[in-house]
Amino acid sequence: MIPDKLVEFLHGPNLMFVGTRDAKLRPAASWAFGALADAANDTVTIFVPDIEGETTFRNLEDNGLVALTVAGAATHEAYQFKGKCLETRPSSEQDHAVQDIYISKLIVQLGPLGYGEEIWSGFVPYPGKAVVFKVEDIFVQTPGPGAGDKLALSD
Amino acid sequence: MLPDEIRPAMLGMVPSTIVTCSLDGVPNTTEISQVWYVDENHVALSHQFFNKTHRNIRENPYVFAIVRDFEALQEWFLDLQYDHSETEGPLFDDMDMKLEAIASMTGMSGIFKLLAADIYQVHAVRKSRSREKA
Repeated sequence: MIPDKLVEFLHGPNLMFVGTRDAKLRPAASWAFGALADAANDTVTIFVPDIEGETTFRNLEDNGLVALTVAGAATHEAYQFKGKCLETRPSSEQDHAVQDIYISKLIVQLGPLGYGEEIWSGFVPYPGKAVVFKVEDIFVQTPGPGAGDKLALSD
Repeated sequence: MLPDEIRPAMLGMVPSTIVTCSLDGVPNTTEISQVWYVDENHVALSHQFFNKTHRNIRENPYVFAIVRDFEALQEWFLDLQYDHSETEGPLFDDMDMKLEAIASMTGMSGIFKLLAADIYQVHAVRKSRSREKA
């Protein structure tokens, strides 16, 4: 299972970038705005905007490999979730509500640091796609001695 | 190739995102403190740790980077290829000094020791459309 602490981290207002690669092993990345973790099934659903999402979606269709970095902008705490895409579907109205809540939380958290509404409300988070992937490995990316450590998926 | 207007996005005001890929095809995404402007065809990334990013780049030299200028509300996408590393000289010294300054400001002094300035050729650069309303 994805540890409770990381489920909370995935649901928190943290920055998310999804990395993929093509058939020639050329990497690419795009934003994800919002995530839903299913700890029991070790799956994470992320919401990737159609704008600038084409390469990500094409790469996922080619090989399905996902590397999601989730980083706390205020704390530098960060984790990378690696796994395999199970499903890509158009995001729904309910997904958009999750994204709207996510962005509202980002604005509240980062506004006092100078990165508020004018930054986050300018992004176009949908239409987009919900990308469901099975988490196979989790790595610490928080700067410091533990960076790179692999975390166990709990029983 | 790199326009002058990209330079504010390479001052380390906000972290940049980079993606690499191992030779066996596993992508790796991470945040880094800064992508340095070297000249209109080259940028530099700091090599601070013998981590997965470093190992991937030695196996497969292609890197995708996102740099951000939140003052101008603009992101840029870069396709890069590793060229060579420098362990001394003005660029190395400048990167070393700035990394230590960043570390000091974030309470991580001593953690961000610079091992090399890795120089990359820029193959492509473009503005992100992430903020363009349909």
